[in-house]
Amino acid sequence: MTRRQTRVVPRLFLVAWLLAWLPGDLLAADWTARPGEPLQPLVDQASGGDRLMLPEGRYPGPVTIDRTLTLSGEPGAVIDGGGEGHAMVLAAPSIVLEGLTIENWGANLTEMDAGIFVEERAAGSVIRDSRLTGPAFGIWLDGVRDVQVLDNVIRGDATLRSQDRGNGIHLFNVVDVRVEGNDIRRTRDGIYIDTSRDSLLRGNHMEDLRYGVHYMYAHDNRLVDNVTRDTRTGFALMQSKRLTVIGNRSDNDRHYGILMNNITHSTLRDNRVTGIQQRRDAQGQGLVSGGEGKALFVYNAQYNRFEGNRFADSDIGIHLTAGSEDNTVVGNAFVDNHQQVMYVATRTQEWSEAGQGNYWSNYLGWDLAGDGIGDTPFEPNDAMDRLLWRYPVARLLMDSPAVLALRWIQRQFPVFRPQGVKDSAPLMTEPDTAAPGSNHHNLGDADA
Amino acid sequence: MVDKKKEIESLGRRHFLRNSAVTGVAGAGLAGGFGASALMSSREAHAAENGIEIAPGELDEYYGFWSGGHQGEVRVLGIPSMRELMRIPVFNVDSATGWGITNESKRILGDSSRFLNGDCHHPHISMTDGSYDGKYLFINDKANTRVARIRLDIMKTDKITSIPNVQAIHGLRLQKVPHTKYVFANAELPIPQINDGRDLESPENYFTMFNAIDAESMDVAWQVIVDGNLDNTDADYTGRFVASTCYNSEKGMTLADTMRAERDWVVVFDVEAIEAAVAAGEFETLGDSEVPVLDGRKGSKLTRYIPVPKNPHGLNTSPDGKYFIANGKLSPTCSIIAIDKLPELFDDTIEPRDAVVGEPELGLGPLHTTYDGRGNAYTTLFIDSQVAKWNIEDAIRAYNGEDVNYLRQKLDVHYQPGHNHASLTESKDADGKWLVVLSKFSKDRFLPVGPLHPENDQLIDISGEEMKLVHDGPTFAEPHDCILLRADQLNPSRTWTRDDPFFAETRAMAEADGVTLESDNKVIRDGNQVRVYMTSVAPQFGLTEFKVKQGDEVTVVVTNLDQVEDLTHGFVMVNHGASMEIGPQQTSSVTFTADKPGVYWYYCSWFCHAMHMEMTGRMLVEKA
Repeated sequence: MTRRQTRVVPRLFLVAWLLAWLPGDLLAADWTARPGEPLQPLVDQASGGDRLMLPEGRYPGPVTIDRTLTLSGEPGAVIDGGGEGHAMVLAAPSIVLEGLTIENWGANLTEMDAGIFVEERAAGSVIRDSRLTGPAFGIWLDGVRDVQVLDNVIRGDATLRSQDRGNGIHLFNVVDVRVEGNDIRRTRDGIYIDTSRDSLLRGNHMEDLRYGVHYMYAHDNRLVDNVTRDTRTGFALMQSKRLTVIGNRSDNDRHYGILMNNITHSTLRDNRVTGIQQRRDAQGQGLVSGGEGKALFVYNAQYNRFEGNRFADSDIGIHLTAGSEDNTVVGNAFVDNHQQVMYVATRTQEWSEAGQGNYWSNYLGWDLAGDGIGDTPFEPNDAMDRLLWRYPVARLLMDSPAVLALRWIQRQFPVFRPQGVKDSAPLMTEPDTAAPGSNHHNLGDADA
Repeated sequence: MVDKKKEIESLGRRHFLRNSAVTGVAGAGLAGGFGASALMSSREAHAAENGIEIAPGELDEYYGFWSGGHQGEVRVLGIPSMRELMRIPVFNVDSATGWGITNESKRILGDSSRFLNGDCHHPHISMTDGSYDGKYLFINDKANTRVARIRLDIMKTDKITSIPNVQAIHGLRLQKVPHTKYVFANAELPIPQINDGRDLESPENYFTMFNAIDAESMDVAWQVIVDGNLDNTDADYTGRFVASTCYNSEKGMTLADTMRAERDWVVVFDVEAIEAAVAAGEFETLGDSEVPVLDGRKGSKLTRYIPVPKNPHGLNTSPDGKYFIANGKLSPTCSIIAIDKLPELFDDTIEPRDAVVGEPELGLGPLHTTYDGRGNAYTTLFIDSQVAKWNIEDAIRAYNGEDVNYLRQKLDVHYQPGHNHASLTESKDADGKWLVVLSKFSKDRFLPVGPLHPENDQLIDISGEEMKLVHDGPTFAEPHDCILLRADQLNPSRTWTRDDPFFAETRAMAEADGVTLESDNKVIRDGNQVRVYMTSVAPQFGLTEFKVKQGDEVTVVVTNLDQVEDLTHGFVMVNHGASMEIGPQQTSSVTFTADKPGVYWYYCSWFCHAMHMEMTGRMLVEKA
């Protein structure tokens, strides 16, 4: 254990550095930990504002940081949680953890064991450029404000059952939190957020998980440029208001790309969802009837704006139900989904605005006027679609003369048409739905 | 429009169009040789083909009992027709039957008759050896902390017990084996002990209790203090264990605080150990209550706490008696607890989580699970708005590492289901024929009726491999749960019997007054109290007039001497708020003050006869 003060930081630099963090504390110092020795005594010895340097090597934990410190790990600096409980607890304001590798914390979900457990009093703390590998939770923010979790790599323990692992980053009752640039795999959920507000999740990569982003009752948050891949559900957004969801990407997630349940007054723009398909048996049939993958599931969600999104190559492009009305759906592309739209309701919804609708890969109409807008409205949920939804086997009839005749007749006599979705201005070509991260899309207020 | 019609006719396809719009049968016809007509028939036709349409005059195969939620009553339905057969007022006031107005109902309501509301959730039918015996139905009142019993012979509430020391009775289930000796009732919301103004600002001193009520006497037998709170509950098939979910292990006082813990728990009660502790005097009493209160907090020998994921809700025993299944709510999983491991858990030879033998991921928002008796479970998914059918043993194999798909089917329901309930599912006789799903929202499923919408009770045929939705049923607030049993498991009375205890106190009053209810029409004056005894035989009351003084407290006792089934009389005293039902061979009474002089008519309110309108009489009130 290094109990001696290794050197005094040059005063000028120290003052400048400290003024930004803790004005007034002029006695800050740097400490260097010694590999193989526990960290806690060093923390206990340090004063608020000090900096602890961790050279390469293993440091036995757990460690509770109850004063404002900066812990900087050099490559290969590993904090070993000791296999039980939290590896690290942040229990003072404005702590900075950077460049650390944290391993071997507890697996007890009941106790909410975490690699880094951030308590309410740790407001203003930053966790960055660190690598966490362990069984229960990666980073748990517990009722705290103004914390930043940046550019960390978090890996779960794949030897455990999915439901016995913790979440990568767990946000409980937080405000003004920024989670950005993290790479999370093989935990249970990637980022779990509940009863939290005014936070930003940006540019995170989440793969091989239950839910990428699991969202419950968390208003006024922004999800921007995140990527989910090979999860059971990419973005599960539930029971929340005023979300800004822009430029995210969901690839090959199984059940849902983006699920919006009871989401109101929110914006979904420039998201790309591709390949949401449930598991299939050897014959290519979905394993569970009713378990079709849905690129976008909109349930009891009103007053939202869906614009410039691309939903492709999925079992179902968009499923709207439970009174999901008064949504604006414009400029989106629905491309080669097995079923483009599943709309279960009794009142018609118009999906165009100011003469601009959406792009439908299965639109068969002409554009004789050459204005880029199809001459006849597109109704993805006509009587045949409803029939096919109820009786999937009938899909084999799709191109039969009977079906074509029915569709033609329905168009001639709209009085016989059931209620559904209508796009009066279908786009003839796919809009330029920019790839996430390319900054082609306008983040608008997401750049706050 | 005229042009369109001509166009249609010129096409010669008018008939074709009509069919295509309604059922799509024409499409199948045109497709030709595809054998798809059954595939494309409408839902209604499909139901009829399956022989489940109950034609006018036909009787249903099952009874269903529905809670009326914060409306306060219990409703009786026929299944599968979903026709409403009867309403049984319990915690509400009912104008038609006089529930909450008559003296008989006020006696049953007791002190709590001052409450005009109730909130009933969970109706459950008494059992013997794990089978419904059709004797009683019990139901909770969350609003005013009561438990009620309904006698299923007369379909009337006959006992209501206010539970002391606790607030908000929510989960309620019955002992299944050897018979329903106890009604188990969870008090949901922790309060100070004693709740007399102490500890208002000290939530750490709030506690709630698990309650056992003697099913015959309806006295509270004992109460067990627990940690956390209590949500739903169910009993096992040995008679020893009862389990309850807790969604607020944090004992949080705000929404956020109740959601913090990654795991809350299922608390298991050892009924045998509790009875032994009561017998050994290991209890205290609190305040004015004489009910034994035992300590079942963590560390107690009476309970064990099994951690399960996040804010669990429903707790359902499988009909084979093997498992308690806790529904995850904020976790997409259900936790399968093996009941045969519980003795070891109480012996401390295994850890609490060792009792969990499976934890299948089913979908978003699992709330309640029900069973078909063939090894399958049906779980409502609130967020997905689906019912997931899954196989319990396969889920356990998957938990043990096998690559097994335990999900059988997911069916969309409309919308956001709470409870679901399969026929006979809470008994060992679960027969897997019908599944009722109580959806919390109907949204756009019915004609609009203003801002307040009906709920939507959906009936699903589960007799085959695949669940099939066959009926949408709009209902008024708010069925939380229901219970289904075969029609032959009930034997309701056709008329009342004269010695029914329901009106025994009224009979005793008559005897004290020297009145024979079955024959006398008499006015008994006792100071300013006047008791008016009369019979009724359609279409006449035994008294067509009686005289009282202004300010008299008048009790009218009517005995219906008709013996004809379905010949119910009513008694309404105009401008006095008095109204009641008198069924054939029943005696009912109502008390009111004759506070204004003049002539006041009374009349029969339940239609009884061709001269029903003429079945009247006058109360003559002399000026004081």
